[in-house]
Amino acid sequence: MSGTAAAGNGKGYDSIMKILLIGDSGVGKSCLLVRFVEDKFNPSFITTIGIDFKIKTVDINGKKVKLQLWDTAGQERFRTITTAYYRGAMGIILVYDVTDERTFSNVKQWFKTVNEHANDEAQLLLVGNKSDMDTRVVTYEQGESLAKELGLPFIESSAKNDDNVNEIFFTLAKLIQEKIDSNKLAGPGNGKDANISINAKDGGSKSNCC
Amino acid sequence: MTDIIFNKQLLRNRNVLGGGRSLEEKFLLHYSEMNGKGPAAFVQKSLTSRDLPMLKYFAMNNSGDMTNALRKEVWYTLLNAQLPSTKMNDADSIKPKKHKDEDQVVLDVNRSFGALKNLSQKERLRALLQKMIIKILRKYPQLNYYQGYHDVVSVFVLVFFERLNKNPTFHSIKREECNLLNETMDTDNDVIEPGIANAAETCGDAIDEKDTKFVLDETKLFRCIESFTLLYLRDFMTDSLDFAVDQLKMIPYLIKKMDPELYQILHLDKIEPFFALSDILTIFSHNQKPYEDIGSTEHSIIFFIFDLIISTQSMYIPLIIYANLVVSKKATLLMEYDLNVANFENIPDMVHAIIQKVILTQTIFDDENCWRSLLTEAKINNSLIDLKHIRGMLNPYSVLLTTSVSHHQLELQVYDLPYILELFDKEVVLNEKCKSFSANDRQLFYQGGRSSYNRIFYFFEKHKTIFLIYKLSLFLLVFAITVKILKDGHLKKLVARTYFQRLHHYYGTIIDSSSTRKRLWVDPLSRLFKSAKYSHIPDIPSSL
Ligand SMILES: Nc1nc2c(ncn2[C@@H]2O[C@H](COP(=O)(O)OP(=O)(O)O)[C@@H](O)[C@H]2O)c(=O)[nH]1
Ligand SMILES: [Mg+2]
Repeated sequence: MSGTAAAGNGKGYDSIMKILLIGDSGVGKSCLLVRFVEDKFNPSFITTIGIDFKIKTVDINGKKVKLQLWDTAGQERFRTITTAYYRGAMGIILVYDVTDERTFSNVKQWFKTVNEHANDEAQLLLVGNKSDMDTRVVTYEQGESLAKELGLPFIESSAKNDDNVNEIFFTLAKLIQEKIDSNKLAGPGNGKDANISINAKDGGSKSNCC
Repeated sequence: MTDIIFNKQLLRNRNVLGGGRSLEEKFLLHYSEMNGKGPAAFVQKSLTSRDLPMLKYFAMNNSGDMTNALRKEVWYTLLNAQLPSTKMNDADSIKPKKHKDEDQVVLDVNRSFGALKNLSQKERLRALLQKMIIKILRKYPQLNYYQGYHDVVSVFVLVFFERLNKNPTFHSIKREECNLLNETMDTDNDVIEPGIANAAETCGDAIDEKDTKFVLDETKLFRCIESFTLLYLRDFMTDSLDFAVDQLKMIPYLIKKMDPELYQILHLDKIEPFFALSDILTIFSHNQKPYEDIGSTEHSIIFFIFDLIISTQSMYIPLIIYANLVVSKKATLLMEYDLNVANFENIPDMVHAIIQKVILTQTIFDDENCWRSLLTEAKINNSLIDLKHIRGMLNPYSVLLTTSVSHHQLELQVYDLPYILELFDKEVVLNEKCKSFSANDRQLFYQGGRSSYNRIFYFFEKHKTIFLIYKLSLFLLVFAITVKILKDGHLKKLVARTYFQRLHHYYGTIIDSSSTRKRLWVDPLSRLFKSAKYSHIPDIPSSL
């Protein structure tokens, strides 16, 4: 239960973290992800339909951590599908748009959805994106106090100007690592809902290595 | 590879294919008659004589010589014929009322055509895209917009938009085509829709011959999108994606038929095929953008896939292509499976990730031979789909069972708008009913309409609370009778005495071995036996 299920087997990393990005459509989830993974910003980045998956390996306290990043569609009708991917997530990034009041007030709804579908131990993080824009309607203080109310860490970011984007993912990864180290969080394959067992073909190469 | 699976049907369908052969002969004859004048002349002739089966055949077997200038005429003619516009259709055209999903539409339109480098072109395309989607939504407010619908509509916008640019192939047929427009359009376009008058403004250019042309094209464009949406995309536009998920379930079903081993290895019996969602909702147009920069787009596989859907009138095409794609990448998938099996939190995640990696990021669609064979196989498999096996998997009003069914006729199937809208209304009602169901429960429900066994089963499935009440009251009844009998001591009369002797014998043993437990166990019964010959049982305090 160290969260390093695949460690030391020549895979080129020490542990894996499943991280999910959620929030209303248009708040900049995909832009944050693309900025983080590819260091690009394309203002007309394409709509996410359903679920997208990206991977990036980072260095956390001298350990190679493979981040599995799941980007989700924001439109309500995709909710039943995207929530299926909450299973086993170790980190969930909840994004709103500081220039759009509605996306901010929907944070509580998203928080509720997380509580219904994610592991209790999952580490959450609240992000107010598009901090570069001068049409801001949600202040930093409002974001901070909501985060306090929900008991979440909070970061404001701009995917456009590359402000605080790396911080989002590193802060989250570190918090997750701390939880893993204090044995609170299960690693891959040990999630409480991992209800599909690996069959004979996999030869038990997973999850029982520790 | 897949022909083998459908063997039996293949035999059965020989006749159908045979029927096609005569058309093929006719087609070749026509084609050679045109004597090297090219596909333009051929299509034109078919358009003039309104030879719909011939056009259908041409679109179905398009081997790459159809320009978008021709394509838009073919699409328009076929789609317009499939859902002819009616007076009612035109009369209550555009409702001024804003549709609830328009904000989402704007968000998605602003993220469309992202790869286009020509900015003014991009803006014009976006304006046209937004206008078309909003027009559809306002005309049919019962439809719900989904993210991805904009990708489908943008395919039509591209095909029609291209015509407006200096397209070299266009010039050669322009004049004849103008005549043609007058001939073929008098039935449909005598009523110009209210919104059309403003079309030139959207364009923002000086009104010249080209803009006049644009007005006409926009009407046709709208008719194409309208017809395609209503006949092919309805399932995705109720206020949930439940029926889209039902359609996705066809993919593992097809893979199982084609390659049961792969089906097992990928755990497709246990996981939801959500990995295919964006490709099915957008008919591949989301992940395979049909343009690098406009102009070099005509040979994009996306247009060929749409050609095939519109001409075969089948929404099985994308599902079959997807299944074929997965099966054709078996070796790579198995390799990725082994590489990644330890890297994921759970199996659905891993299968999603490796399929996404293999299907999307590997440039299958850039390999012309590969996708040509995919299209050919899709065409063959489509004609072999057996609806008997599929009915229970889909709701009875699904496009896959009504208006975009795989059928074998050469004639176009024609539908009328009231029928389509009724189908959609029924789908909406059904969607409401099934809201709380899982995909599997939904299938049970669909099957429930088919056999009486299932109907009974389903009745209890659906009315779980009622069933619970029945169970509860039954239990209460039994309980009440028991208590009553126990109190009155009439139980002996109802049940054979020997049974009680044995029962008492058993309890007697317990009493002997553990005297503390005796009251707990014996109390209710012992009073019964008191009068009988087992009077050695200690009496119970009456307080109990
Ligand atoms: N100014 C600004 N615009 C942004 C930023 N991030 C995203 N956007 C814009 O917001 C739009 C929606 O972003 P996207 O990542 O697609 O949102 P998603 O639906 O949450 O994935 C993009 O097209 C960008 O133009 C940001 O940090 N600053
Ligand atoms: Mg997105």
